[in-house]
Amino acid sequence: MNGAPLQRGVDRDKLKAMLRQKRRMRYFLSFCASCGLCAESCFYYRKHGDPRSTPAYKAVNTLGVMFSRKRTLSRDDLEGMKVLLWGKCVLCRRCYCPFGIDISGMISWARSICRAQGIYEDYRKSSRGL
Amino acid sequence: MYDFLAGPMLWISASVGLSGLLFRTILIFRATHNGYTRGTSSPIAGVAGRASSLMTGLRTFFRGLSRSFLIRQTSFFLLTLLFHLCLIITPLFLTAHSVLFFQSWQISLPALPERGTDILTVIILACGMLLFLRRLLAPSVRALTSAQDIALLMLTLAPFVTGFIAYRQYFAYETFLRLHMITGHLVLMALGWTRLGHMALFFVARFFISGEHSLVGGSRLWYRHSLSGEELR
Repeated sequence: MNGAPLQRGVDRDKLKAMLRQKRRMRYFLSFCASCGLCAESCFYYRKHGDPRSTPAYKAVNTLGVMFSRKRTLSRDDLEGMKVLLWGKCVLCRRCYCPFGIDISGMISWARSICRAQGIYEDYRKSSRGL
Repeated sequence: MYDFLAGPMLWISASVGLSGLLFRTILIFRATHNGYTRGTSSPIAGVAGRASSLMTGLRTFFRGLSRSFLIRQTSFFLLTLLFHLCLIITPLFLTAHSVLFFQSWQISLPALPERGTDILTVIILACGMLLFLRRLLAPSVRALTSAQDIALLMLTLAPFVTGFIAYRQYFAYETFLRLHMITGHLVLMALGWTRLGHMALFFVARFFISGEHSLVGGSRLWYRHSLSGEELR
């Protein structure tokens, strides 16, 4: 370990500690009615029309999955979230939730968790989502 | 069985549901901090704290409302407003329920005419069906939909379907009356511990927590202020 990012595996303690730090996000996700009303406020969704780019989908399938599967989450799972976290969101904070759930904050924190595990979008290698 | 469902079971399901709502509300309040400094006109009180006067409160409310989906998606707003209003009004002011309330606790609530509650029930079922179709047909919502969402929508509609059939006595009155009570108890219990918790937590999120999604600029903050109002100025 020695503070260097792990190449394989997930630093479970760090993952859990970071999730605990923002446990309010779990409470908020617990009453998301998945009404899909945030979709219309996302310019990315409106431009591309991809149902997997609505704000709620991005938050539920990144941070939501981290919360629900924090014991079994693999590094590949986190790698797979990169497309949603960096490719389909620019953190413009315009997503509107009728329940007042801070969706962009969740995506931002999911990015931070991924970075802490040494997973991030390398813009030099790929221009995906740009 | 009827006596149990109409008697002790109500206390069980009501306490399960209410304790869930209370528990989750407390969890959210414990995760936030009080951002209201009393008696100061500090930036905190102005921006994040409680509205200083009624006018600013109303202005915040209408600004929040104008950014809400009332303007963005008016038709869906009206659909859910109708659905949720009927969902609360119908069971509370149904004549048959009023009789039960009076028999048990001598509470007399105003009762709607039976024809009126029939119409409200039909409105609920129609709105519920529209919401269900939207879940199935709108791609953005279908991608989000899990089995739990559909199950909860069906569970919410179930007491209204069974109650309607039982009241109209179309067939098997005894069976449907019991089904109506069982599904009602299930909804009450689910309120506390599932996504139906938005019944209470909606108000926590939008009225107590300060932020851009707040409707009245609540007094709870996600972070703790280390500076007083004087220092910020």
